[in-house]
Amino acid sequence: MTSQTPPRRTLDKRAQALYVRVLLGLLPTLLSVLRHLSPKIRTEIDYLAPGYTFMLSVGGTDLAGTCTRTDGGAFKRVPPDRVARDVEPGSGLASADADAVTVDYVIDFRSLAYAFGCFSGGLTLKDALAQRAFSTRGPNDTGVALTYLFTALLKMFFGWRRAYRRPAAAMP
Amino acid sequence: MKAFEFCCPTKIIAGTHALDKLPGELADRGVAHPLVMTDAGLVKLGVAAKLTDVLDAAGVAYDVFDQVPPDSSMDVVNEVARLYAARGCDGFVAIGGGSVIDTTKGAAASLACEGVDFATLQGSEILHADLPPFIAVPTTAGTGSEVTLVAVVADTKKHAKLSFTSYKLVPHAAILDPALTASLPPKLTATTGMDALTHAVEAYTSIQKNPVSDAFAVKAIELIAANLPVACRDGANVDARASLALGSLMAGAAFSNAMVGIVHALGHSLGGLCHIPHGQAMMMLLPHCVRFNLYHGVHAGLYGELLGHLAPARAAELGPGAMPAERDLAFCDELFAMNEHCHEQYGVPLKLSELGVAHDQLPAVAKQARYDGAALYNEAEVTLDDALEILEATF
Repeated sequence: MTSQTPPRRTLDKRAQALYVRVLLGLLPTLLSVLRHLSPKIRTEIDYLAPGYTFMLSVGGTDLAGTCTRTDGGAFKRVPPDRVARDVEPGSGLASADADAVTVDYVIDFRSLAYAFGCFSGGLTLKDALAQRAFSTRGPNDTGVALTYLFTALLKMFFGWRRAYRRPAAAMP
Repeated sequence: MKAFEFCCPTKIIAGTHALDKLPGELADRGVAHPLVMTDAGLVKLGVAAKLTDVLDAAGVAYDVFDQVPPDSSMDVVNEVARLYAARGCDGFVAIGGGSVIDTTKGAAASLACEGVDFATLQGSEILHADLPPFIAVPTTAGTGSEVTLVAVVADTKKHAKLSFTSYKLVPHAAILDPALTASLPPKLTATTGMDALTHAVEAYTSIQKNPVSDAFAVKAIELIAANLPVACRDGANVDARASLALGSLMAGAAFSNAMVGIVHALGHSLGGLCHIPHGQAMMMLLPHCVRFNLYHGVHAGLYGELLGHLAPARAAELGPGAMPAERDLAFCDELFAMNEHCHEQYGVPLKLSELGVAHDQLPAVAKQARYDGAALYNEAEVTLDDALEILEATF
């Protein structure tokens, strides 16, 4: 018989996880509001079809957030229990459950440190891509649109940070 | 140092008579009944027979699928996966260009995931299961697909080229035998060779570049620049063919780990919407994209670093005291000169209008290029205006 000790998280890690969790929760609201301020954000939202649903998750944690685009171009959060469970997110397969929401695209950060780096402006999304900090699943073209969208969003908040003011950044 | 990953697990078997080692490679991997993948053109030219003759002589039983189209599609990928299972095959041997090898990657990936539709595996690093044994035998020196983690397959309904990336897609062995490329006509040798050169140049300037991919890219540029003119002029030159194939492989290993950029984004879009062959598109676009980047201050100094590898004589002429900007421009000039040479000597078209592309198609091509996966790895964001400007210059 084997026993497994749950991983012990430092206070620092727990704070990072809380921060990422809050941002994932705020994401649909931020996108819905900021599309009125940024033509760039609006352009990329327009590229995504109504009903398009994406998920952001963080490997090795329970952190995940799912958002779906409304007909009006806003985003709303999809509660975890409404996400289809019989098909893999991002696979493009239809769920047998008509009430469930299927996820079109998934961005899965490979660790909490990478997710925190991006969400706090210490690492640009481009640098995260360069470092293979996340994996993706779903149609490439909408993944590109999401990347442009999040880059514009993050730059609005963290444009003042060093990572956004220099050509390339290493993981802090 | 910036964090990076590099992986090239393919066993490389190169040189004269390399193909003779195929039965041994299959036996080492426990393959008793491979599915040989190829296309009708290679069957007609007798190139595929060079491989099947080796299998016949060794008494290896095999099945053949020879209907891979120039632009492979999801339907073909799924058809191959079904055939493989129905015939009880236990490994793949792909002999052909990028389309044949990428179709095989797709079918092998589908089989590794218990026969799922390959279309459901779009994205990066999705595959976790190992592919069935897979040996790639390239017949062009261009795509580098024999060592890359990428499979590009057309979505014929959406008129788009879809790319799939995963380290699990890399073939287990690559056989580079110069006898297989000896009969390639100069025009095709030129366009596929320029495709390989584009892989190396874009890998060297991609946001995912790293010290290891740079080393592969630089050596690839040296090999291609030194051997492409010879292989075009004298197709039977075994040394030039072998070196060119190695250059293509090394460029493939470089871009497999560093990815590509705007040239490929535009090329995929031209392939999907206008059916321009990939190598042809790369050849036309590369110098224009380099000039565009330099004009906009992108990759300043970086292109010049490659001048000594692309054109040693020109680099020597400029001397060690040359300004980086001078080297950058000289690099761009050399690319244009290579294209002009191929145009004059072998009749390779250099304009989109010569290939039947209509001017009113350009905006759609530009839009699809902006949202192509390769665009993300470009240093600067690919805007519609940028893409259109380059397409206009190439038109």
